[in-house]
Amino acid sequence: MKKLTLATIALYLGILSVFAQPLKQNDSAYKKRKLSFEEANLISSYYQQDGNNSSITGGIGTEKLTDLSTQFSIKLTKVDRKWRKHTFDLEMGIDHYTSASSDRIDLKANSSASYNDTRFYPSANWSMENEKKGTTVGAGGSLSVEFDYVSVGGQFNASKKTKDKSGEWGVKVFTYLDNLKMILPVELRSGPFIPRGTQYPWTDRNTFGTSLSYTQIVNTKLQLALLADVIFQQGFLGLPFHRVYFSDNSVHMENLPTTRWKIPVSLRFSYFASDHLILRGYYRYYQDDWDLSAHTLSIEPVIKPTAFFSISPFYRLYVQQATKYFAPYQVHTAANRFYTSNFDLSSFTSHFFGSGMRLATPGGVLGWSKLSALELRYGHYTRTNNLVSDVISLNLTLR
Amino acid sequence: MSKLLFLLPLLMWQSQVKWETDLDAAIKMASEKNKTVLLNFSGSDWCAPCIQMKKNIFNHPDFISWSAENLVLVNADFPRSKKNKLTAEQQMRNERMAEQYNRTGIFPLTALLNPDGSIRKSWEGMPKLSAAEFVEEIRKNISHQP
Amino acid sequence: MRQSKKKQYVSSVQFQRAGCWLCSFILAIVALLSCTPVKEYQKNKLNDSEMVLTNRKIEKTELSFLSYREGASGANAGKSGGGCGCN
Repeated sequence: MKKLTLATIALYLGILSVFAQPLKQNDSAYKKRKLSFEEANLISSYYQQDGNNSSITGGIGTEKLTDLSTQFSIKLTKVDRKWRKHTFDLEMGIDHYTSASSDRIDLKANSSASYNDTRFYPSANWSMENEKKGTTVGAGGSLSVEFDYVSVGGQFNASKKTKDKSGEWGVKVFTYLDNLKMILPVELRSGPFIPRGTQYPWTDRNTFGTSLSYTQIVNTKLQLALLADVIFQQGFLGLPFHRVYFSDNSVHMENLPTTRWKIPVSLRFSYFASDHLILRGYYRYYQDDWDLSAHTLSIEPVIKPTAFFSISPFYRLYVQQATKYFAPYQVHTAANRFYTSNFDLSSFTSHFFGSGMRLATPGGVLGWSKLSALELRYGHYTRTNNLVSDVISLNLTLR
Repeated sequence: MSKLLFLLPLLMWQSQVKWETDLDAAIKMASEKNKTVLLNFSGSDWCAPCIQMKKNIFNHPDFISWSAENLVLVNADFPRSKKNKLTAEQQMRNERMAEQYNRTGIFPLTALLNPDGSIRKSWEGMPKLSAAEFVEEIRKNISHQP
Repeated sequence: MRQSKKKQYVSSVQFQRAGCWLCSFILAIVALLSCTPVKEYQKNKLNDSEMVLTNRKIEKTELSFLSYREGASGANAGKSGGGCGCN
């Protein structure tokens, strides 16, 4: 696995080095029409969590999990004959996780296949900006593959600036067509769910969504964005290896409705308060037809000792009201049509806080002329039902 | 150390390079002295490529010595921090220049002007050229009269 | 048992009301803000990389985990639904 990861990174770095050749005379109209390298980003994150409400064991038991992810993306641009700017974003992501609870799909086995797994997720996006008209259109596709889950995504987007160019309307339609392997807890495998050798049956989950956005420049220091999504999901919306224990101690596979409507609405602002302080804020209200609702509020003061160095502590508050289908271990009864003991869907409050750091020294960070920015970010997450996690990420921007 | 001593006179010389801040006066001066106007838009305290361009090209001896003889340099700066704030008069002059030559707000933007004030040639962003190569490009553009 | 269920229902309604109230409050603020036109060359503050009205690239991993660990997702210019990895 490690070899493959390194090979993929090497391949991408190879592609990068081809595009990173200095473009001489990038000013001439002819050269400008050639595809040119804009920037590349390498992002690496380490995530770990621990808790004791695993859905795999019916809402009790360890939720210990670690995940190491690496994403590499390159951005290329090209100006066409009509002076429209085309942007191409190519991305490859690799996650490698180990999960103690996935190991409990078979309660008797010491270690099952899902104890650790790798997810690959390449994506490609294109957009075309017509500066004269103030319009942008774009499209993209994505793929995500892991051993028990395959997702194919697609999106179209368009945006248009207002007449005075201070505002911009945006619309995006997107879909994810997913397939998941029906790996039931060992004791619940019967009928069609009995694997033939290592062959498990697969099932569908489809997501269709529309995002509307409006951004507004208020003055030279303040800008706002309003976002509203309408998302519809259909298919198998739980996970087959999630157990639910009824009050009579009988065990069942999580059972959730086959459709779900989600409506999140959010507001974001960024305010350049002074040469040394930028304020970023975000608020979201979420409601779905499983009666799950949530408020998310986050604030991030960015402290800038210089124009090219910033430290950004952040705090995010999240308050969730449980779905009507949730009950903890041994509370559901046979009278319930739908049931889950997934604590991610329970009522809780969570706090996420930490700090970021960004360095973008002119002429290159740490003396490396191609490294235009280096970002580091750490966050600590606590949930009132005893889940804790930590995440640390690094982003290198090469130009 | 000896290298530094060698550079010292150059550094002193470089501080003598004058960037004009009034375009109309610069165009007049250029026609009187038979020179060409090079107009540069910069964000001296926030725009990293502008800072690099100044350091690697405009403040390089190759550029300094040649431009002194052949160019009238004009700078329209758009600083961000309070301590670098320009006078209201200068800010207005710079914005007028931007309104005419840099409506899309590109930084840095460098333009070589014809005697009538129209653009002969412009460079968006920092040219990926050495000071000597940049001088050569300007020279070529000046010698090829339209 | 029945009473506690009723209580839960009431709190859920109150919760939704609070959300609606907050949303309309924010919209009112937006409407009240009068905007001054800003030219492209006057955007040296707005174009600072910390001013972007989207999530930072570096937040991608934490946002995907937040979307697994929490019921709500979307309206953050990120991904919502699909591509699971919901371990």
